[in-house]
Amino acid sequence: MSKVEFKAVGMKYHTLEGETEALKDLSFTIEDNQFVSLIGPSGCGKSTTLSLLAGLLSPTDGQVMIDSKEVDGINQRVAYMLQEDYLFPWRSILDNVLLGLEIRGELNDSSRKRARQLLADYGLGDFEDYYPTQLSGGMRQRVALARTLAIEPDILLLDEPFSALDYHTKLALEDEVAQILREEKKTVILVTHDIGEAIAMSDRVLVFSERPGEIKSDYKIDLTIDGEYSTFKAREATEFNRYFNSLWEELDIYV
Amino acid sequence: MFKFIERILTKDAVTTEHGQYLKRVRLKKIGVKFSQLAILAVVIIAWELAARYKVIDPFITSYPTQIAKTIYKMALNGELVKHTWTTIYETLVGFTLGAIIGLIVATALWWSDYLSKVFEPYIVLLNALPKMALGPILIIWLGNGVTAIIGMSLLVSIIVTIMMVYNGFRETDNNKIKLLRTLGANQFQIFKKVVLMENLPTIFSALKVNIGLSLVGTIVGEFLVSKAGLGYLIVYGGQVFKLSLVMTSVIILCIVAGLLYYLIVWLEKRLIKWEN
Repeated sequence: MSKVEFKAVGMKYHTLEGETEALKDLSFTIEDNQFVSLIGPSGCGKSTTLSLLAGLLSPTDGQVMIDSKEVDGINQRVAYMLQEDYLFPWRSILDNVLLGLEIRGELNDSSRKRARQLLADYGLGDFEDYYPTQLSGGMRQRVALARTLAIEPDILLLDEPFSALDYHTKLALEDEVAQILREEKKTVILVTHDIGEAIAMSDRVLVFSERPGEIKSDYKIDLTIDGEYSTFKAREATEFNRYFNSLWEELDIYV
Repeated sequence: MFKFIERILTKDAVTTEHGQYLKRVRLKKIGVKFSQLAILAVVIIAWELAARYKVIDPFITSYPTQIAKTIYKMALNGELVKHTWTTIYETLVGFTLGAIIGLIVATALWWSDYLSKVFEPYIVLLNALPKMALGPILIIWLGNGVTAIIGMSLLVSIIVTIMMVYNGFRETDNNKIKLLRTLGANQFQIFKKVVLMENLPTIFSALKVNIGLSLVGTIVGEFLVSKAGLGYLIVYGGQVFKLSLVMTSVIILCIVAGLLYYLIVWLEKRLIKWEN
């Protein structure tokens, strides 16, 4: 049984000027615990795909299934991480992490304890009572990750979560997040523009075509890594460049 | 002596250079304060002297010592507290009602896009209308007294509250709302946890504008109907040509306006702790 299944999904947006077809006949499946990256040209419907999975949008054609059930409204087992951390400046770090639990009415002693443990695991235990403005960009994005995982989702949707960070922080955080999510055994769907990031972090890369988005190709990423996995070691694997080059050609980018 | 001043000016310095920096900053601050006081002193002294030596006619300009005497007399016979309190009371009631009703209307407009589209032209129109023109109508509707004055104070401030707060609500960061929606928040939770919180600074800007506007409404109301209050004193003083009474009232009004404004600033500082 697949964790996620798109069956001939089509999505059209309407405006006064006309109609935009964002997705057309999109079909793919994702297995449980898989880490899948979506790459493709801008405006090809990657973010729409995530919004459909989160239940923020309903498809105009076809079906989006999670655990063989059609997505209908916001799904409690799906968590969404956006490009920026969107921490609320008026809430302390801990209160930011508790946000999802609060909204779902799941805030109790044990969930609070778990949230604090998450912060401690990410090296932010001493910052619980700080306010977001007092933290660096990388720390803030880690808080956002803790907020995302505090609600214990099965499926994580990451919409370019590292794109707003500086390069060094981005590399370090990519590694950290990849390790955490592998350990937690989550199903992850990452939207990114960074081919290297996609290869280093994922088990599988789906390439989208120009709008209306369809799957153009499907790469299974198999890297030879000595010892324990890290995104840095992944980038050193002999296969890395081969994947990089074929994905680059696949994207067919002209500037 | 000189060394002592130097020590105060360079207090808490980490290095000598830092000390020089602190000294520059502090001297500038002292300079500004001194200039502010100097302007006030010069105006008061010039006014007093000009009136005494009949450069200006003290009958139509009054003068500082006469004003001070008037304030002293009014303080003794209780007039000062009575009139000042009447104006403050009317302003605060009108302002608070205006703020609460304005906030509720702004929330309703944010809640329903349809509603806001329907009411937009009416709000724009009401905003452009000089509210003072409605004074006589208010007096007929609400009676010849305090209620009409409070009505005036409310009317002057409410439209601005609605417009400023609604615009703030509408410009709430969409991604923060999206984040809450992905967490399963309903409309009420979105309002409470993001829209309202993110707009607290906007709400306070609106309040700061409106405390002044409410005072304008109150004074105009008092001009029209009152038997007490600073607006009443100003009109009465003008009618009987007691300029010292008019000037005194205006000065007290100045102080009241300042105090009310700083009351809002104080509230803002207590409530918005994360922004500094």
